[in-house]
Amino acid sequence: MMKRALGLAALLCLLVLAGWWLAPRLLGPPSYVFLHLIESNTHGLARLPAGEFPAAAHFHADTGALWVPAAVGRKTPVLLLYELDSLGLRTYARLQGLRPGATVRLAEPRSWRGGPGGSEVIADGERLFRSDLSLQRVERDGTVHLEAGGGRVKLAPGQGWSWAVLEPGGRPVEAMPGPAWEQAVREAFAANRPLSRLTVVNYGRWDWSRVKVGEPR
Amino acid sequence: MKRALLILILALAVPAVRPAAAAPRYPVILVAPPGATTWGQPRDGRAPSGLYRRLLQAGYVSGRTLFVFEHPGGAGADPRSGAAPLSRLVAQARVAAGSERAQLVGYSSGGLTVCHYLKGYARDHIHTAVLAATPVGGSFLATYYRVQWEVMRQEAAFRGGFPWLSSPEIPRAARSGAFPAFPDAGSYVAARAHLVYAPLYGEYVLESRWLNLPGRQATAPSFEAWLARFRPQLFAEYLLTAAEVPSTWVAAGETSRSFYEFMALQTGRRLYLVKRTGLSDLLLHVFSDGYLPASWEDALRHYGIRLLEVLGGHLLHAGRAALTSTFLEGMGELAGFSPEGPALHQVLQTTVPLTGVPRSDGAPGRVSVPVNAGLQRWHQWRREGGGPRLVVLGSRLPNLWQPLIPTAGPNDLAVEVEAMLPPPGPEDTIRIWTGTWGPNHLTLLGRADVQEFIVRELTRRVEPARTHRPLAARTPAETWSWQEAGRVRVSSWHPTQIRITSERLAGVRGELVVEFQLPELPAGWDWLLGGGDRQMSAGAGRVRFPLGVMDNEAVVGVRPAPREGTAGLSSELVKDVSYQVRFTVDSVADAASPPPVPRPDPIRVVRTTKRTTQRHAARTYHQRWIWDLGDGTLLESDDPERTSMLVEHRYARPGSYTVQATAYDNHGRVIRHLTWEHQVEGTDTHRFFAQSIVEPEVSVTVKGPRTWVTGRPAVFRVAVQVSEVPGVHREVVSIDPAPSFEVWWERPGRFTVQAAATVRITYEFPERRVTVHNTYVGSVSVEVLAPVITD
Repeated sequence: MMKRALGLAALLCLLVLAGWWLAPRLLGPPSYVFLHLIESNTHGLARLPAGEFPAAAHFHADTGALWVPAAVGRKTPVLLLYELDSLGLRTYARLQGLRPGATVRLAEPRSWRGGPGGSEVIADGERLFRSDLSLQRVERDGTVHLEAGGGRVKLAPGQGWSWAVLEPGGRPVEAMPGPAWEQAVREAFAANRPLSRLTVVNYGRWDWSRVKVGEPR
Repeated sequence: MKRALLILILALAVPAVRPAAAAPRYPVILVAPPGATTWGQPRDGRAPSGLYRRLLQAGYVSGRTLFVFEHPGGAGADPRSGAAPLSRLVAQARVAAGSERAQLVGYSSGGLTVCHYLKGYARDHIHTAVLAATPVGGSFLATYYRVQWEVMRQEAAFRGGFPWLSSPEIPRAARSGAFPAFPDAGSYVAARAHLVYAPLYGEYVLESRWLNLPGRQATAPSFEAWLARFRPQLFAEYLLTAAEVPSTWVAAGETSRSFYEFMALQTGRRLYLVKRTGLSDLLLHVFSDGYLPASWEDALRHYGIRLLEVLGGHLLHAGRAALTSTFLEGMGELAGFSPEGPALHQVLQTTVPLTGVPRSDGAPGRVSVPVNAGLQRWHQWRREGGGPRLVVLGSRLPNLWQPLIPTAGPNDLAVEVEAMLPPPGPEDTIRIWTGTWGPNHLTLLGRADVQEFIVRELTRRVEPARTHRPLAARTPAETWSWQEAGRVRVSSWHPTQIRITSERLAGVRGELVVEFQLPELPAGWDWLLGGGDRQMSAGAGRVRFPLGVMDNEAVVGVRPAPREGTAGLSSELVKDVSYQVRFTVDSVADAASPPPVPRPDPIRVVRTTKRTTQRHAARTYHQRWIWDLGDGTLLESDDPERTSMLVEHRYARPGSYTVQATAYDNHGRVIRHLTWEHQVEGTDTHRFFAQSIVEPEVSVTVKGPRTWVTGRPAVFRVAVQVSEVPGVHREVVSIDPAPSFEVWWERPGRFTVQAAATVRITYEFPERRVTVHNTYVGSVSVEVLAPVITD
């Protein structure tokens, strides 16, 4: 009798442990880390579009709500909103899930025809980044470890990082933001030289329950 | 066989016998642009032609069911001023045809006369309004592309091509937003785009995309949001204004200044992008020859040919660059629209939506900036289920032949979709002719298919479910009157305005009289009465407004002012003034219908002051006791809290004593005076008791938002609590400015909203009744912000 009770208790414990182990694997983690990656170019327009590329997601930093046009899979630990803009016009946007080890290919061609029957809007040749951005590791508190352009970056929640290239094949500008960066940008603007900038912002960890489908309210 | 052939020839040669046209149900009035004769009516012995002839064929009879309105002002007259004479012709036509309603056909700016008639007069008298190529500013995009032509002209101007644009006055006027310097909307918008918004867009790109710090604000704001945040004055003054544009512009009165400012903003952004990305080669080539055209026709011919030349060259050698040029791209975009499709309605804007504007609760919200008053009015009529049936004709064409026609203006060259009014109701018809060979503005009415279409629409048996008043129930000249009285406190420091506004005043003609009961002023002071820019006669406290059919508002200012040259009168003088507003309609002959309900619509009286109340706290309360006990003993108490007093006194010797107790208020006035004739026989202690007034506790609380934005009404409510005091009657007699009132702010800052409550307190004493009126002021501090967009 005693043996049977012990066996039952052990079985129950085993079931609880199995559930505890399986739940995150089956259902995914309860929260995700939100990364915003913006690639800006000064010469990335092949022609003028009628408007902007539609937003892939709207993130409200004050409430933590992420509005997405369609449901997203909840098994990835990181959601990355990648946006490409040129002179203030968004020309491409995509929301993608990332797992450690995943790579965002910055040199990958992007295409937007600006509407049915239109010609290509994005001038891929003027996008200066030729390397990849990869997600190395995600810590429990939401800190992410990235690798880009041969360098490693650790971004705690709330931190951002920028990397810029002043001309094709040019070296990345390290000291940004700062007076040197501002002077370099102003000079490049005045001389109409191509310029690309990559900015990554780690918005930290957010509950999946705050991901909402539809138009932001 | 021969016989059969003969019959066939006869059948082809003899016109078909048509059945007699049914008598038209409603008379038709054709409204041409001022000074134009468009319709083909018989003149100088010539036979009728064009649309006029087709209408005759359809059964209309000249002078009975077919009328032509000719603007009495002739060529160059303001189309809006034709509304009143048109109303007389409508009345005449309805009587002549014995019909309750008429139909109007407006062409080009004649359609604006129709619109203004519908706005100011009885629109229920109109069954169908046909607007053919009427520039009501219905299409933001259409006007936008027309502006592109001006942009190209000004590109040349700033390179020294056009002397009038090259003068230093124009850039100055463009930067300050001065309308009168510009002959039309296109030149204004293009100049603003060149000189204000394109450079600002450059600053925006640099600052928001390249020099901002990476962090939580990495998401760059939109250009509009950036302007709202970093150029709040420009944003509030130019982009968030519903002010109407100058009357010299064609679409005056229909579009607001915001319409053109947003257009300038978009044009400026595009201009910057074109220049920055090197996409403007085609335009620069076209205008880089420094040619000085003598006239429009010359400019069009020259640059049209240049355009074709350069275009050809580009097509051969750099076709891609040519196809992506701004100008052709605009046309290509338009070619993708279909009249019934959703894409077209997207470009018909009455408002420009802005997101991220803080709401009253601080959360980001959305606002719509009204940009087209005319279209909004149609929207409202549709919502109310009223307004005539609408038929709109336009053409939309990338008409490549137009540059070769010298009489064509840029409007015809680019686009003609501006005559549309959204949203079409179930009985409305919108017809747009499209294609390279389609009609343009000048040839639209000359086409047989267009004429047939108009006749078909006019004779269609459509009975819109509109409310209208039967003709028999109307009297030719009805009168009604309305009056309202009020009281306002005015100050010499802050002129007080009384704004009388009501939809009910619109559409009728009459006289508004504001009569003031002005109190006496001290020597050296005079009453000043005035009112904005309106003509009025100011007699002894009386202001008269002759209100026209277009007016629905009157403003009167009243203020005591020191006479000029009078010294030493710098202190504030505050007076209460009673007023009575009286409005009498002297004629509604074919104007708007008389009031549909016996009770008049609310007429709002708004006071425009820097203070919500001019009243100050004013209390009367007990301050002081003085007792005379009759034996030379005087007692004095200066404690306002001591509203009752018990005095114990021992007299030194017996006798008759007169005891007096006097209570004074805080102004030094006697509240009570009590006297006792007291007989003293021994050496006992004698007690005397007297009671003064006891002021109840009064609290005035102003409830309303603590944070607000400029340009929108904030509602405040006043709560007054008066504590109970036994034997004292209390009554709140007035709350100033009102128990519930709205406040608008014109500029941001921290302001105090005050309200005053006057309480009548009555104290019953055996010998007299004391009544005091105390005023208590409550306030709330409000932080007012300019509407700022946040992402």
